[in-house]
This record gives sequence, structure tokens and C-alpha cells, in this order.
Amino acid sequence: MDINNRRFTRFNVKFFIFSNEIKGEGVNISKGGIGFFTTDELIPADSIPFKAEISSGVFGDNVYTIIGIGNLIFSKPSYETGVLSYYNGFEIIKLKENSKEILNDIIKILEDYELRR
Amino acid sequence: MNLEDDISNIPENEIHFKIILIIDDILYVLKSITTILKEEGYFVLTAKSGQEALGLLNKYSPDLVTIDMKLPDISGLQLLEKINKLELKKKPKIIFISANYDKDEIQNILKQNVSNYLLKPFKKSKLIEVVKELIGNP
Repeated sequence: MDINNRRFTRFNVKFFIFSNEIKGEGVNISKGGIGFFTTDELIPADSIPFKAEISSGVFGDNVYTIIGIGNLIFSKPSYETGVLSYYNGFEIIKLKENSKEILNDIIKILEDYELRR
Repeated sequence: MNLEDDISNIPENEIHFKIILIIDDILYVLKSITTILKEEGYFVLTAKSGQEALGLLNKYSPDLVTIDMKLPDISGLQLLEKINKLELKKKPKIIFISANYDKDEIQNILKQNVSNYLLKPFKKSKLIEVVKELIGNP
């Protein structure tokens, strides 16, 4: 995932990781992972089963849900949103079969959005 | 000189700081937790395997130990059993770290001298809060 590319908010992402619900503002998304901002610094962790809801912004009223296993690789302080927040890199390791198709749709929508800009 | 060399040169009765042993085989996790706890003022030792951890436990008798569920040479639970059998100068507080949300398993682990159970991923503030609650300030 290229973390230096397109660091502006384009959608909302809500991670449901069992009891730990982590809400963030999504910046990047690719087949490899998701880059998002949170208000709290997170501790990196591996092999996390997750459910992520991706909505708003570029996606309008649609809500896309992907389920799988991933690694939270880093959580770095950033002032890019104007206030102190944390930029997180979440690496997707494995997705449920239908989530792969959903992720492909999400990436296609983002690519079309970029072309229109 | 590494951390272990630093501490091994200090006579035991002059050690007035809190020692924390972090056990995790994933380097970026180890590095992140170490940095955060060092910034708070704790003395941090790290181990990437169960065997390495047991050696450090015997040698330095840390105040607190964090154990990841999945280790390369032994499961976190097996390591916990071994730690409980060690005859240490002081019994360390233990934080178990896992991505497993099976309630029965969490209850089972908490019965085995585990002070706290953290579900991955968690906030930095949560880690500091739990550590201070268990062993106090550095």
C-alpha cells in the first residue's frame, strides 16, 4: 500500500473487531489493505479477524462490508487532518470469498472517481 | 550495549525501576509496545519466543509480562503454564494478548494467574492504563 499517495479523506471506514469497535476515516484502499485515520493511537497487531464497513464520501449512501483477517501494521501521528490524529496501515491477509468481489467493486468505484476528478 | 547488558550491571538491591517483559514474535508489534512503555519510563525487555522469555524471566524477574497467544515455539497458554511453575523471586503480573474472542477461553485463561486480557487491536491509552493499574508508575 502506498501510504504517501492521496492522503485525503474519501470515505468512512468502521472496523468491527469483536468487542473492539474502531471507527476511522478512510484514505486509501487497495487489494493489499486500507489506510485510515483514527483519533486514538492504536497498537499494531497481527492476525486480526475483522469486519469493515466502508461507506459515505465517494460511495454515497451505499455501505460495503468486507470480512476477513488482517494485520494492523502501524499507527503514526499525523496533523494532515488539521488536528492530531493517527494514520493507520491495515494489511488484508485473507478475505471471505464474497468479500473479495466486494473489495474489487470498491476499488473500481474509487478508480472511476479518480478518473472523473 | 543492549538493554540486558544495561540491567545486568546493576546490583539487584539498586534496581528501583519497574521491569516489563514483552513476548511477541511479530517485530512491528514488539517494537511498538516497547517504544510506548519505554516512553512511559518503564524498563523493557523483549523476547520473540517462549524459550527466550523463560530465560529472561529467570534472570531478571520482571514486574509484568505480556504474552501473545501465538508464539513460534510454544502457545501462549503453554508458556503461561511454564511461567506459573517457575520459582521466581517475585511473581510477575501477566497480561495476555490475543485476537481470540472466545468467551470461554478468556475465562479459562483468566483463571490461570492472568491479571488482564487484552483483545487485539487495542488503543495505546488502554495499554498504559492497564499497565499502571497492575504495577503502578515506573
